[in-house]
Amino acid sequence: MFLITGFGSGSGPTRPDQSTPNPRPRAEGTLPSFFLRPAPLIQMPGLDNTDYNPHQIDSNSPAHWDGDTFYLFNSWLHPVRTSGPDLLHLGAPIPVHMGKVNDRLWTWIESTWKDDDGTLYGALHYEPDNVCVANDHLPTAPKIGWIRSLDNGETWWNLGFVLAADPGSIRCDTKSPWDAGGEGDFSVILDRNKEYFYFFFSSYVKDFSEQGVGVARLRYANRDNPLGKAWKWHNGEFSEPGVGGLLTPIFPAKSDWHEGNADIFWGPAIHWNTYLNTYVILLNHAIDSKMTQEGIYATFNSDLSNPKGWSEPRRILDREGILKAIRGLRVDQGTGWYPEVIGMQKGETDKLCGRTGRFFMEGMSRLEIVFLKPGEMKE
Amino acid sequence: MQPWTRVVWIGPFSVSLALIGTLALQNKMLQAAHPDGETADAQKNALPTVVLRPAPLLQMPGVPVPERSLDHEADSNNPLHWDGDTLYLFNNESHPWRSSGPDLEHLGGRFSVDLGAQNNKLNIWIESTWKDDDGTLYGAYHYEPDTICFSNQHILTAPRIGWIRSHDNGATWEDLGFIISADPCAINCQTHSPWDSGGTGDFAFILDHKKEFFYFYGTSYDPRFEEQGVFVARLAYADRNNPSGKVRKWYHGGWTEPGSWGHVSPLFPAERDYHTPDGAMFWGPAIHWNTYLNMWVMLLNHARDTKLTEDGIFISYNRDLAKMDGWSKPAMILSRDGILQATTIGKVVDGMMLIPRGVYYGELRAAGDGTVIADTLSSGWYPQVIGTAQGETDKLCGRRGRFFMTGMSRLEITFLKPGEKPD
Repeated sequence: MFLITGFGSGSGPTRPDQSTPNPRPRAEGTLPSFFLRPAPLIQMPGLDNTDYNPHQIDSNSPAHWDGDTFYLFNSWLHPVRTSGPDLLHLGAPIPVHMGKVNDRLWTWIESTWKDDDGTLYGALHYEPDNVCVANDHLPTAPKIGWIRSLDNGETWWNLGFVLAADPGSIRCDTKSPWDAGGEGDFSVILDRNKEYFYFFFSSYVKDFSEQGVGVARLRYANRDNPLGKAWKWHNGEFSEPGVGGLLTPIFPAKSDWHEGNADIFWGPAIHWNTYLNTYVILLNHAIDSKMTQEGIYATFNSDLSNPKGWSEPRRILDREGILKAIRGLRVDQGTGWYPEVIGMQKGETDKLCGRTGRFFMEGMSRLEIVFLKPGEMKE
Repeated sequence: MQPWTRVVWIGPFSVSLALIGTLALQNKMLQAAHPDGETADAQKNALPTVVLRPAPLLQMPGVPVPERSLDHEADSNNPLHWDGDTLYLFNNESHPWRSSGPDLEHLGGRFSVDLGAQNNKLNIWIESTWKDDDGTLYGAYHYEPDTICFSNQHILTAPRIGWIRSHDNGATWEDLGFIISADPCAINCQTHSPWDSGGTGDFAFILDHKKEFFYFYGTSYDPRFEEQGVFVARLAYADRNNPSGKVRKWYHGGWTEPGSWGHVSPLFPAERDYHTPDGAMFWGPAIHWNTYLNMWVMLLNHARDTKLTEDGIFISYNRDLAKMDGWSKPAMILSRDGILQATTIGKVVDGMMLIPRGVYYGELRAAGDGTVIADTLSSGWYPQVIGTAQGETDKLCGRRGRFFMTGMSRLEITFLKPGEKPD
């Protein structure tokens, strides 16, 4: 059987030395569990990377519903949008319009949220060019911007950068092929009280103590005027400015991102699980600065306002399982990055899922994920 | 007292096309540079003077900007070089274009040069070049990063300077990396400048006679007042093919600071904070070796506010690039009125703006005196002396040359040795 399991076995990396003083929820039996089982292939449309991958997908892929229509964004240097009656019946992708300047730069839409009035809000991962090396995109230092659309994401208004690292916090001698610094590779979700959007992002800054998965938040009330309104979690409070501020990672790097032997969680993808009544984050786990994927992990928290409430990440898929699940991709394309749970029921998305959903990596799914309540036994 | 108020005007001045006049001025500003007890008369005679005379219009090919109805835009210094009997010119507007021909008056065949896959989609200006003995063309560009302060916006930006090399006279370029940049944290997104939150750019470089160093004269828009103005940096000639990390900036009397992220002590410091509405400073130096004077000559813009409104164009002299204190105090060679006269391109007749056919179009407006002004031209930016004899360029000029602003010239410039009278 194509087994892939992850019953909260606790396997995976030991906790980083710089873990927060408060122990994370980890007691066996008090946390949800999950298992993966084989399912028919679903391939998101993605972008045509000629001669390389006709369905290139290079980030989280956010989705939303408008009436009976399901919309999905895939990104690789620029976002495209597809739509259809459900995830299994999506049409041809169209490039979206990000704005005059942004359309010639490299941006990824990594999260969206549909407001009650029909406005679609989104957040983009932007990678500046020439950060360290002239005439070269890489290494870069990403920033996170906030955008708004009135046509379900075909065209976007840019509302400015909401999260960014100190521009001097870069290491151009990094061993990373991609990131000399910056903050990106994220997802955003609105809390149940509609008070805050919570950003869970990857921090590649110069300072080792600030590398890992960070969290920041922006008031829902500030969604149309977000500049200077996002705050990063730092030393137990949302006290640091979103742009240029310091952060305390909720999952700190174990080894420096900029060294060859980097050990870091990155690329969080969050959803609200209606069956568990808790938030679930999937995480990549890189074991070197080239982001070689050691495994994919899950963590749970029922209260977004408590960044210390996230459970110890538990591996749901190891390297071998990843390679099996993404078979068919070119070897050099099979990174196993961007794990994402997407609910398949009407109204469900990357942000909302019930007991069963689809488990994606790089926009490809051959696995179904089933969530189990604490103590619940596998079928 | 502002330095330019001490300039002595010794002749009538008019650049009206209908009236040929002459401008001569003497620079008495070397007192600070030569505090060795010379008499005032001796100092007066110690510096060259210049005469500006009306001359037939010369319009560089420039860059077409259809969305602004501009056909000859030139938005920086415009470097030139010779290869055999062919003169090559680079004009820029967010990207460089090259034209060529037998001389400055017969340039054509303009095309967009290839800066590299990544650079071609960014905003880059080639502001200086130098042709090596083996035929290699070296250059330096002003790069303006996008979204420094605002998402989906090019400006405010914070420029940097990169070094490039070409083996085909600048049709295609190989990027050798950034060599001069400010501290990336040194930006002021609350600036009143419409363009620059920080950074270093708007420059020219030149090789010294001993072929030891390329000297860069650029503009620092640093948020720190004490680092604003015209700065100097240098790169050893021997490092021209591997320049990364090799440039040193002039700081506190020595070449002590790294080209990237290092501090500067401006050669000509700002007079008022650039980032405030009334910011005042010299910027955008253009340098050449004057074979008649046997001196280095630098032209400078002088901004009287943070929008870089030009209140005059200035000149400074030096015999030795290695001596920072050798530069004479900048003296005005063209006032704001002179700039406007020299860049007037037509007249208003019966409410219609009449301009010469095929010369320039776009961004026109009627001035109060019945003339027609093209806003881009009338800025007076990017003053440049270009020698017109065979072998002469923006880097080399003799007794006479052409005086350009924004790629257009209606003035000839004549250099006079100390004490020499105008013709």
